[in-house]
Amino acid sequence: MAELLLETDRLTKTFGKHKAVNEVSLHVERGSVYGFIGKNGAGKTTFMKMICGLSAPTSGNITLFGKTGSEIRNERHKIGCLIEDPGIFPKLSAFENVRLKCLALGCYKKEYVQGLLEKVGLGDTKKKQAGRFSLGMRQRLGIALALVGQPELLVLDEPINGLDPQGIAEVRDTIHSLSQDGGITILISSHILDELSKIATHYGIINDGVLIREMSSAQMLEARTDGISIVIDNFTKASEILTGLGYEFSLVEPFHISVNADKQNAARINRALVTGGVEVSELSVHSEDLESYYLKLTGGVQNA
Amino acid sequence: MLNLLRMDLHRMPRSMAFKVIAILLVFETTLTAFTFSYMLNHTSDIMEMPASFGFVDGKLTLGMFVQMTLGQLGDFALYLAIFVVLFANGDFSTGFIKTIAGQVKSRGMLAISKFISVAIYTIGYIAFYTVIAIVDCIIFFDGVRVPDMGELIKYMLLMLYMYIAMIFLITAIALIFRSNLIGIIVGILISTGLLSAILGLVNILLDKLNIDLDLKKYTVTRSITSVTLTGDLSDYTRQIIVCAVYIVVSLIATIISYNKRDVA
Repeated sequence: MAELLLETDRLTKTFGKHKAVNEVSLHVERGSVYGFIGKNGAGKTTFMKMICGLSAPTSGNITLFGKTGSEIRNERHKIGCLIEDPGIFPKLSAFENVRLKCLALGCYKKEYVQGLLEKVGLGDTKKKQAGRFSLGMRQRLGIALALVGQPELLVLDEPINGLDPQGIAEVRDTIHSLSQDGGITILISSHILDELSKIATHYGIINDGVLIREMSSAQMLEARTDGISIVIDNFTKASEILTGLGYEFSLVEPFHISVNADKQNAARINRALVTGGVEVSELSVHSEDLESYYLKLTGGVQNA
Repeated sequence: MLNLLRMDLHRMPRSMAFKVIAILLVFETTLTAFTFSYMLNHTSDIMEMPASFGFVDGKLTLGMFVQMTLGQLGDFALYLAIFVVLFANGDFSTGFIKTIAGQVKSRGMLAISKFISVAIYTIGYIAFYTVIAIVDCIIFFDGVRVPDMGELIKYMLLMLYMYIAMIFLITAIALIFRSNLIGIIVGILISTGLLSAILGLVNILLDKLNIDLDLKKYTVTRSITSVTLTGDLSDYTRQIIVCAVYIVVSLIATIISYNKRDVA
């Protein structure tokens, strides 16, 4: 197992009687892009705030860069965060916003600020006020702010929320490049699971404050059920053959069935149907997408 | 700590409120000087007034002008209070606090930096006001008259100290409640004397309960308005102590609030 950059042990946050985060034990490996999935109110943001030092845990432990307890305070400068909306001064330019954070951390140099802005694609915004930026530009400015001080861990809470497809692609490319070229470990939450699946190497699924599953993307791929989609000319006959072979299946639409089986079974099923006199006009193997898998795990079609 | 202060002082002059308040201060001070000048020109017995009343050769002295403007709070204090609330609470109102709070070793440092910044701003505000007052004296009172420089410097320093106490109290309320609205309401109550009126009502209630306590004596506004040019420092011991208590309590309460409470 790779070195753990972040580890939580039964981390809990309570608001009154409500447990927003309930004994979450999560593991983030160095260099990974950890996709944190959960519906609204599942506890993602609260969890991330505790990691970033913005909120104090009610109980449980956080181990950051191998340090725990009060020693974490000395490690927190290695974390950059973008929690909820990017916190920017709207009347100031992108440069001035980043400059402020650089001054706060004692690392201001004109070239450094310009470099950060170029890294997130905002190098040519000049004196334009940040309040006049598009949502995507503001999110990227938020990422630039999170990158000040060369953090080893980047915590991004819903960085692509509300963006148009162009904005999503820009932010995704930025995150991908930070992870691949910059070697930064990223903990990212998103509602857009399809986008998350394009960059995440690991996943944690949280529901009602409880971490219900933690796995790598390879394990996730394996866990997602395969299916075989077949278009046939005779459902009754095909149904008899598939039942005889012991497969579970369902009728998607007239003459179109979906068989619960992995791709290794595709040839066998095709042969059996054709031999049994069923004409197969189309056969394809499909995998369950991340969203379907998530909904199956959390047991609902609520907002992911 | 110094880095945080550098950040705050860098942001301060770049805010719109900074520029607007500076313009308002020039306008208000000049208008007041013009009004005084007009009134004095239409008053016949000014020539006989002694220097201790703030007049030399029938013309207003700089010290008396300061006492009649800055020393009476009003708009001069209100502008200062509004700027301080907007500036100190800026990190919270924009959400910028979330990008820095996690990366500093102690969040209390963020609060201390804000208090030092508003204290520096108050010094700058009063210094800028003094420059405008001098220019206005030259324009409207035919020159700057300072019969006793030592007296004026002592008065200005005492005024500055008490203004800082008032500003610390308003800053603390704005930061603890994390609200511009509450901060500005408190600023208005203090600077316009409404708080004194409210305390007057409380005093009546206390009197009816046979409790011998004048709360107004322990307010920062009473402290400021009770100071005069000719008064001796020893006359203001209670006011100095009251302001020191406000400064210390405001600082400690805000630091505790910053350290204990979640950021957002």
